[in-house]
Amino acid sequence: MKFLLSILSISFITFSFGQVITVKDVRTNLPVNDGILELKTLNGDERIYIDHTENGRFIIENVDPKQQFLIISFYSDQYYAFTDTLNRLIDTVYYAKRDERIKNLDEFVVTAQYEKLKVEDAVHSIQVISEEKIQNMGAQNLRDVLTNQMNVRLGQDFALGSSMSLSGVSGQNVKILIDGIPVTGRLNGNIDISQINLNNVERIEIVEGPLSVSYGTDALAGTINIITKKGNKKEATAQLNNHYESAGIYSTTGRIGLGNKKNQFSFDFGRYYFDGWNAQDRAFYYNFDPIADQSRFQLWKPKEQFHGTLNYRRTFKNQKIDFTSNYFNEEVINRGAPRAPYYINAFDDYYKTLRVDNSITSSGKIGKKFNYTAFIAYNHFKRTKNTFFRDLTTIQDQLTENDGDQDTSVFTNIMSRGSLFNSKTNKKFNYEIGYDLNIETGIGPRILNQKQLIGDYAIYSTAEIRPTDKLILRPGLRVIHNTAYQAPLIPSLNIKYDLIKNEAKKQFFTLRTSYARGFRAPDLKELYFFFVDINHNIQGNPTLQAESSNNFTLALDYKFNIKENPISLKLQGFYNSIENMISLAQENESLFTFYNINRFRTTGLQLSNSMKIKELTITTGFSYIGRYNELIELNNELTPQFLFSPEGQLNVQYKFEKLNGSINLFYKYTGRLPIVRVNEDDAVDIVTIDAFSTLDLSVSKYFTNNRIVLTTGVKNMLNVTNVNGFNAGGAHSGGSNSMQIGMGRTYFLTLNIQLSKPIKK
Amino acid sequence: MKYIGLILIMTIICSCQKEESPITRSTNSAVETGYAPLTQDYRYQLYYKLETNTVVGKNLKTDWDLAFTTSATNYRIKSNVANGMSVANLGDVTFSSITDTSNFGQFEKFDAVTGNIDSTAIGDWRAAPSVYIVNRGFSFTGQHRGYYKLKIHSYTDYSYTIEVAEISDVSGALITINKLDDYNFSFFSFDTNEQLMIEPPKNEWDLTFSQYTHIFFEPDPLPYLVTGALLNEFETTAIQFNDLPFEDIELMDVMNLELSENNNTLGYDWKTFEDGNYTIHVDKTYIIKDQNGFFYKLRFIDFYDLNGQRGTPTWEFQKL
Repeated sequence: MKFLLSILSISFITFSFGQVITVKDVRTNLPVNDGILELKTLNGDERIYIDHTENGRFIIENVDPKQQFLIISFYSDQYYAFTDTLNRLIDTVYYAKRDERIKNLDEFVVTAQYEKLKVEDAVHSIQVISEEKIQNMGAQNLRDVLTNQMNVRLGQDFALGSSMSLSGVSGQNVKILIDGIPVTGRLNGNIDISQINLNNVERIEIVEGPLSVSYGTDALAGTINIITKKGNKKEATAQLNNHYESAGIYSTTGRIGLGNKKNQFSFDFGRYYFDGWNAQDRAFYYNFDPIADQSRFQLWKPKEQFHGTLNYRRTFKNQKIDFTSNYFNEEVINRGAPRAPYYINAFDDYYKTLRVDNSITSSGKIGKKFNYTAFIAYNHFKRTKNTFFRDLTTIQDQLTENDGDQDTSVFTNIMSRGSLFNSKTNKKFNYEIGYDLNIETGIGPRILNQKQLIGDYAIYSTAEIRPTDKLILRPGLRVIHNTAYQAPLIPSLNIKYDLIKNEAKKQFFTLRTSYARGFRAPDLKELYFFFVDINHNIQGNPTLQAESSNNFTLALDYKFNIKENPISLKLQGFYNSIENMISLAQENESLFTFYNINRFRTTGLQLSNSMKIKELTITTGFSYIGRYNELIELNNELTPQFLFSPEGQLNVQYKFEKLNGSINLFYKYTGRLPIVRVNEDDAVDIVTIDAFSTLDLSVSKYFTNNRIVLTTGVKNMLNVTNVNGFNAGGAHSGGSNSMQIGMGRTYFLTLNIQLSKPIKK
Repeated sequence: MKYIGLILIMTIICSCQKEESPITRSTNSAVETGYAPLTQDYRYQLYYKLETNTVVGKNLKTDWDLAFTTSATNYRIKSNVANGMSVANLGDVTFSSITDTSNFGQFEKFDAVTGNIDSTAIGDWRAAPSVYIVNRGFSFTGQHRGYYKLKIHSYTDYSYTIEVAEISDVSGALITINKLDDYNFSFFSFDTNEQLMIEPPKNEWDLTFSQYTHIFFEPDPLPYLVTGALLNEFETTAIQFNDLPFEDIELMDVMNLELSENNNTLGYDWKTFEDGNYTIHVDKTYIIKDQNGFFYKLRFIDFYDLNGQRGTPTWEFQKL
């Protein structure tokens, strides 16, 4: 059930007591328990959104009865959306047809917006990944679902997990939020995205380009905001979801929700277990009796995750407050190969990650004019590495004492962010003012003095100015004080211009352009690293500056209908320039430290299209992204300034209305990626990572009144395991020649059972 | 409830991490195993005899600084490569005039990696009287041990006379080092300004396990501290022999090989550091001929001890 921010107070002159529009379920004649109503004028420039109350009644208040609202639309998770014309506001009853699969509310976004609004109305270019897509892909965590995302390249490391890059910029510049609260615990700057599970996710919003004004550091390349489901108002619900993949993935998640009008409670839990994978593994093979020989070493390491979330929401007349506690625990086991010459012992590493994240979030109205949203959160992240020496003839473990074998790092974050919005839909000037505080503490053996603290305190403000109906200007500014380094001033400007806006014909031609400054603060490691022994001298640099970037984007969006079938086309280009990139470099004969010495640029063009023709939905995309050649200064003539790489996407869905099912195809082409490096002869050299394609096919079917969903399919049909390329080695080892992409073709099955029962009143 | 059946099906599809079953070890009685515990920071130098498979001597690598050759006509002086020592020859200047390391880098030299006595850092000091600055290198905790200055005044068939001082001191102490015939070298330490005993007598050992300085040329000379095995100076030779697998090598295969006198023939590269661990190259076999003329075949099988602690070279060998 959706609980939306209701945006009401348009300043109308006369007050009218509530007039009611009721929406009822067409089959049962009972009032609906879900949805939003939108009332707007014919040209669309004045609109109001009304949230439902109990009994499916939409109470319209503070509306001038002389206003002619001509178009009424209803959007809901459980019912088909409808649109109708309306002559005047009187008590009216409408009938809605129930359909749980149509998630019309995915069209609404919240990231960096003043209020929940439709994707096409947002000043930023926001992409939405729906719950339906997550389910049809059989995706269990963020990494799974991003395998089909344009402009995203994934990386895999057995110890550090899954990392990503967005439009050519590394994952340390991508901010990941859950309900607006940042995910913490970065290793080498990256969040392990296979640790972010998607079991209670309503949708994922992705914004490419900096949102640094709103969200601060790390949002330089883009922001991913994962919106979770909240408790139910009227029903007790229980849900159980079981997922199996032939490579040996077993994932069970569940949810229990209870609530009434004022109090809602939910508990989500889950366990994810992966038994590891090797190139020789056959699909569906389960080793009932593993022997401690060569087969113990696996390319993809086994892991087990437990996670749980407790949420309590209290709703008042104009505000709501959420108390949330998240628990996540993962163990990755790296079993070493038995050691030559007698293969009777081996080194095993165990990597444990523990996350405990607690938050209090509140949002609502203050008085008649202002809306607010705020949170305070405490995140605790602990990462442990243990190395054992195992005697394979006795299966006895011994904790080793070599340098670097045992390691524990702890990062805690105290965060609070709040925004106040003065925003009414038709006003020419709306604004937002907010604060963002973050105190991060790092504790670990390689941190100077074993413990350091960074405080980041910022205030930000944005405004939406509408000089005409068609033009929105959104400037923004963020001012930061940071205890560890000199933080830059962050401005941004977004412009949205409606070249064509025809609500009746549903034809929209929108231009969006933006300039934004982004930045990434030096992290605790870059500032305070301390690793000195007889052969190493690597230290952090406390005088580092932040990396900063300038980003320019231009996008054209054309949406139209051909005989009731919606079609959208989008052309987008960007140019990104990053200065003061932080890199490790040699200071003198013995000392290595971090410097702001690099510069990096990316540029690209993307064309995407989506269309829905009756039961068939097709999405295509093509992009061409260039990455700056960092070594061009060494060798100007032989290597180009930008190295380009193409990407493509084709997703097709066919819905069988009568059978209550669908068939889905997800295809992504990741093109050749050229990389420059210096080879053994000190000459500049271009190596390439080969192209590869990911193809998933699935079928899903609903049973028993939409309470049971069965999804089954094939992931990675083209059986891609690794591609030839260059994987940069560390200080000791050389580069290996292939990159792990996937585990070959895998088959999956997901069974989702939903039980819900209305609470008796 | 009708869903119970479904819920039951779902819970069956579940799994956990299974513990593995052990394997059995195989043994070969003819081959002996030896090991030299240097401890994890490689602080020890160990001396080892193949014939008896015993460690016959042990000292901390920081116990000594200079080693003086002992035979009657010999005059060469080695520096302690296990500490990363280097020496700079500042030429014919007065002892008291050197008080800091300002000219050190220009003239810095290291002992030859092969241990070749003809190419020491100090070199042939007899012709021209010189003052040397000695960089004592690092201790096993990574601390620098300071700079000293050295002047070698004279030598006889029986002793050396040297003058030593800390680099900032003006005048030095005169020390006599006695040549001891039964040993390869007479050792001296700046800590005590005295001669001391380090190695066992030269007849009593074949190999020494310790850190030493290897010099990479990539492209500029880069000295790097490595850990490995060195041969006894005295009539011990060796060669790497990979033509046959270790188990199959017999005396006839190696009798006519030309063996090398380079001390670092066994060296450090029988292991490689990758991904956080040392992997041993078990396919590298070494043939050693000891001072009595006996041939041994040897290969390294580990660098970790039975508890998984680093710093214990382990090998198996057989007399041929």
